[in-house]
Amino acid sequence: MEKPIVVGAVIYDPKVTVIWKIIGDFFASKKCPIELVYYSTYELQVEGLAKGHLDVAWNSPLAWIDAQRRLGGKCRAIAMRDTDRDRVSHFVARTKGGPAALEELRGKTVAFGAKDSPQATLIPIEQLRRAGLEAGKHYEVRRFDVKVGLHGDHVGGEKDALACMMRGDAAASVMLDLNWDAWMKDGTINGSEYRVIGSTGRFDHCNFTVREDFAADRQKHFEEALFSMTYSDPAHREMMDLEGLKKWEPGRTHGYELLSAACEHQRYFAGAGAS
Amino acid sequence: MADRAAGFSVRVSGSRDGSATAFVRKHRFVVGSPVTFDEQDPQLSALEYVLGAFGADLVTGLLAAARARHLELDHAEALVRADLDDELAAVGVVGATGSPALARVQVKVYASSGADEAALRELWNQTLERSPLVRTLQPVVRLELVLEMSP
Repeated sequence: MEKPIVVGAVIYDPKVTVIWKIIGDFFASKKCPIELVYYSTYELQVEGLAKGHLDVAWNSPLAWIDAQRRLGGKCRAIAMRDTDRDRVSHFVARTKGGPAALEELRGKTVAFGAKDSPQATLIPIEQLRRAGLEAGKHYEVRRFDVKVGLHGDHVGGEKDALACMMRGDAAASVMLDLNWDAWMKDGTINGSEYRVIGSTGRFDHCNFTVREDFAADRQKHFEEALFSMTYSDPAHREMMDLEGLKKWEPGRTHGYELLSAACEHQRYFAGAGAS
Repeated sequence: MADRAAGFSVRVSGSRDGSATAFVRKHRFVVGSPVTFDEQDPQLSALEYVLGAFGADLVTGLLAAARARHLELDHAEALVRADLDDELAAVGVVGATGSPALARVQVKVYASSGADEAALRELWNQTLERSPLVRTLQPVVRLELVLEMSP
């Protein structure tokens, strides 16, 4: 029997293992068996990858940066969802009486997600820095550290930040574009009362990361199985809906520039910011 | 009646599909995984059997006690809720710090009876005292066992 490819995933709810089991069964059907290892935090998963306990890690963008850091750049992003590409985060404020542009956040309080959330904290703070607004100097940071270690996978931090802004305790809050869309759709946000006053630059989200020494033939086998998933096939659709994608794309790394700069300027891995 | 050996005996046989079949006296039942978080799981988990058995223990215990006292008890139904100390530990998550053990089991037994409430409460207490599962779990799990009565 072929040695399974060991795949790591971070989960915050045991129900997420159900999705991964479906994916595992799919890979088995493609004669590419995978063994799943679950982690409670991305920090532990990246450590598992760095130590060679894993062949492939389903990494958050911050975990990708961390993997590069720990492995001295000796890792590759081999695949990502179509929905991981070209994301933005929005700054949302009250339409009546709220700020109308990022510049108007000067002297105000901005509500962010967890300290390790790329989309709800790190990248938006970098975006404001590029707009000439320094955290703690030109505006006050109100952070919601929900489930730190999950890199913002858990939307609780963004929801708490939104509630903070809605209560009037912050002038704006930050959220991933996909969450803005979902919360407008389900009525969490009333589009006549709140608006987007600015957005971050585009960035990429999760990817499957491998170490540089991952055997080429095993990577090819993994990619062939993964890329054979097609949304038009009803047997694959449920699994792809659960994972929130319509197509698997090859990995790319230029979409992490904004986060990389954020980590550098905020000295994320240098001290207190690291989870 | 044939002599019964002392104690209790159950034979459990595992299958390639990951399930197990328990053979008890002339009966059998199939058990899936130790614990499942999948609503669509076609099989019952070992934990679900335990919780079902726990609720049944209290319901059938109460019904039997009422019958023995010739007290009217039209209906009894248990609602069992339980929490694990750390669900992630139960699925083997690296970094999970807790235990997969049951941390809390709450059972509400709804009894419909025209009998005197005090008499029924006495039966309830007797049921708890005689229950092998209650007496076994009580020292190690937080049990919240409630009898709700309606006429």
